[in-house]
Amino acid sequence: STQSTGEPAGDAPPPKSKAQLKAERRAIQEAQRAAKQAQKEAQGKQQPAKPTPKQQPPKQPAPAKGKTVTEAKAPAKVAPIQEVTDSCGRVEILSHLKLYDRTIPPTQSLSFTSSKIHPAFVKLGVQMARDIVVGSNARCAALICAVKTFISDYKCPKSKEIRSHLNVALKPCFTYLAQCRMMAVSMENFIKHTKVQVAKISPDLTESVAKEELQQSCDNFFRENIYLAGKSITEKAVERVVDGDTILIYKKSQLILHILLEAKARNKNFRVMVVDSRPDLSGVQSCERLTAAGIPCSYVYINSCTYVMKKVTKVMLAADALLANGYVLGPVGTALIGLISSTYNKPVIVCCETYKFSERVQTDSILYNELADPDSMLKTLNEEDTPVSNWRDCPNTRLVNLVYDTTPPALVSIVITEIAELPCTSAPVVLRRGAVKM
Amino acid sequence: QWYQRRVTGERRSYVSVVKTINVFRDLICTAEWVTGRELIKIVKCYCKYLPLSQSNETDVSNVVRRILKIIREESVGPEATNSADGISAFFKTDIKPCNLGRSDLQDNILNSIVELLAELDTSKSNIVNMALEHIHSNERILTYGHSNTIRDFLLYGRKARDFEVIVCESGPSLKGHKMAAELSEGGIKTTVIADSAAFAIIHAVNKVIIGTHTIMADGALRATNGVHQVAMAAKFFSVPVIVCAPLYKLSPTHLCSYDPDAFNKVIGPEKMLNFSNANLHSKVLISNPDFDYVPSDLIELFITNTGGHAPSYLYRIISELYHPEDYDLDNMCVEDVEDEMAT
Repeated sequence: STQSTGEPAGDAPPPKSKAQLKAERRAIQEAQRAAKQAQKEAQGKQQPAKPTPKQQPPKQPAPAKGKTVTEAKAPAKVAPIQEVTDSCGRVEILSHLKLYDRTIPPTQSLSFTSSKIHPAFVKLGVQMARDIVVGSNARCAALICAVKTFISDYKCPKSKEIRSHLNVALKPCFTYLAQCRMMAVSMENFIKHTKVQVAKISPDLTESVAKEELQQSCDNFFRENIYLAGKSITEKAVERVVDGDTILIYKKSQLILHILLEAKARNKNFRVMVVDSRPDLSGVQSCERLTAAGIPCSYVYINSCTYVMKKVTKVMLAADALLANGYVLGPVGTALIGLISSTYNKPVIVCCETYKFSERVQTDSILYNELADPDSMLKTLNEEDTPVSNWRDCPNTRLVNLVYDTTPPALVSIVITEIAELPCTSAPVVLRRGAVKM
Repeated sequence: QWYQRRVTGERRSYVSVVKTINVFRDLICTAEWVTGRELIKIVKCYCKYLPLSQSNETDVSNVVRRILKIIREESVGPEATNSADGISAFFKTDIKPCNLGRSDLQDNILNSIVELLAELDTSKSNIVNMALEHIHSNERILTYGHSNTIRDFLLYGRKARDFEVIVCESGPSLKGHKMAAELSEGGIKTTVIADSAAFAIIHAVNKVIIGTHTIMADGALRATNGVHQVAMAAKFFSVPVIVCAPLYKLSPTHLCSYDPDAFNKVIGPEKMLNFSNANLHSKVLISNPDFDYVPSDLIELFITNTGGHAPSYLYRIISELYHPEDYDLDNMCVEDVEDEMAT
């Protein structure tokens, strides 16, 4: 399928020979150079009209031509959507991180019929961008479902083999997802796994059998790495909860809540201290689930963490990823809690499935991070304005809403994974073991 | 009652301190006393009326201690104070009667109080003028929440240096937003971050400059909720923490206990959890403490109206500002107790 994506001009021009294309490209360059000269000369006098008529006629056929030329070489690139590129309102040290404009819907540039992106991915992209699907496990599971749907709807073209073409067909979908919201490490690892599985398909299988196998491998990934791993981690972590404990948790994590609910189901007597932070305040949902199960809860903001730390006996944190140098990537604020806990000598237990282990290494929290919507920092509980509500009008005010931060391994006591209970620094050993397995 | 009407409800510490001094000045003029000791007794008696549950209680108590010190010094007489060396004056607990009559003594005391008021008046500008000694160009400074002193300090620095400020939102009250708005109006590039991001961003910051509610006798702070963890993160990355505060915030009290409830004051949680979550309110224990204790080993420097001091030097300043008998304002001095027992 070589249709152009999102192109406003409906009709494609007739294909031209290479020499003709070269000559025309040179003509455009000359015209642009002349236009620049004219602009420089006319700097004092306002003459913007002069260069534009020269530029316009060569420019019109150029994009269309550019499209057909690149079409022949590589699959059509999805137009980068909704990224804020102007430097106004950006912090210099974070300018390497992408900031997306949340006012434009992610599907703006997609056309109905000729899009290369499967509707399941379109839906998933919007869900991720609008924070409907949150949490590393949930996002990965949603991605697995979307990939399975894609595979079942996928029809391999006659001339191609499934094992080489499927990856190519999936690529624009993944690119689109990455542009809706930065991919979580769990999702990236699943994508790597799928690519390997697709490439391993033996060529003598029929299409339907191959598709079934792939869907089975997706299911297996979910079952082994998310579902069973979660159960195994819960078993190990519940052992660590004793009667009379006060356990501190941070915000909402599906895995940690599962552990606490399981511990309660085993009739352990403990309290939970829920630490929450702005702007997303997901700790409230943790409180709701815990109180519904009958676990006594306390609730504080992260500023009061030192105030409550004396009464806490253990700290349980969830990780979004474990980096190869032992740093724990978690929701922003995890590092602060790790620091305070280790200062007050409370054990910090991090729970992380092995599929979230990443080969990335970094020593600070800014290199690899995600910038969430800055306007969500303006949300107050009673819907009133804060003094910086008009921050976009003030050139000196910037809002930064980081999503992740990295906790140094010195601040973490133990990491519970489904294989074993490890120190943070054993991450590369697990990664190597996983690579050997694949 | 007249005191309460005039001073309660004042949030800005400087204004309440000035009002307190004026109130006590009136007291000195109008009350019946003959010797310095009687005056001290009267002043301590009126301390009961100090609204100690107010947020500015420590500033007010400190200023009362300064007034008591003035009264003691004037009562002892100018010769004694001039000849007395710092150390021996420190150990002088009794007040020798001197020859000054009430009117002369009153005049001396009132003059000293006027000097005290002048000192307080210039305390903020003294701190602010030191901004250029502490900020270099192209710095990134982290600050927490809102403080008038810090805001003026940074705005003064902006006149000569180009730097960037990162402000932590400061929890449920979101005072950091107000600070950011004021700083950016003054032309400083300001970034607002959530408190949870303090650790993430602090390695890229050159220094942390904060204000405080009270400075305790050993150099520890009683500051806004959340400052302790920012100071801990700064220590982890060896980023210096500088505290700017005028000396009337220096209180000769120590941390009475490590129990957080004894030290702190908890305010209503409506800013944390909406009343629309009322079903949670009844089942969940919500804490919204107002203050934070920051131990002195996390602080690098104090910038006060008398200059910059290390936390270890504060004990000396306390001995100059306050008299040991006044550290506990409820206390009566030994002779008074004997008098009471005799009658």
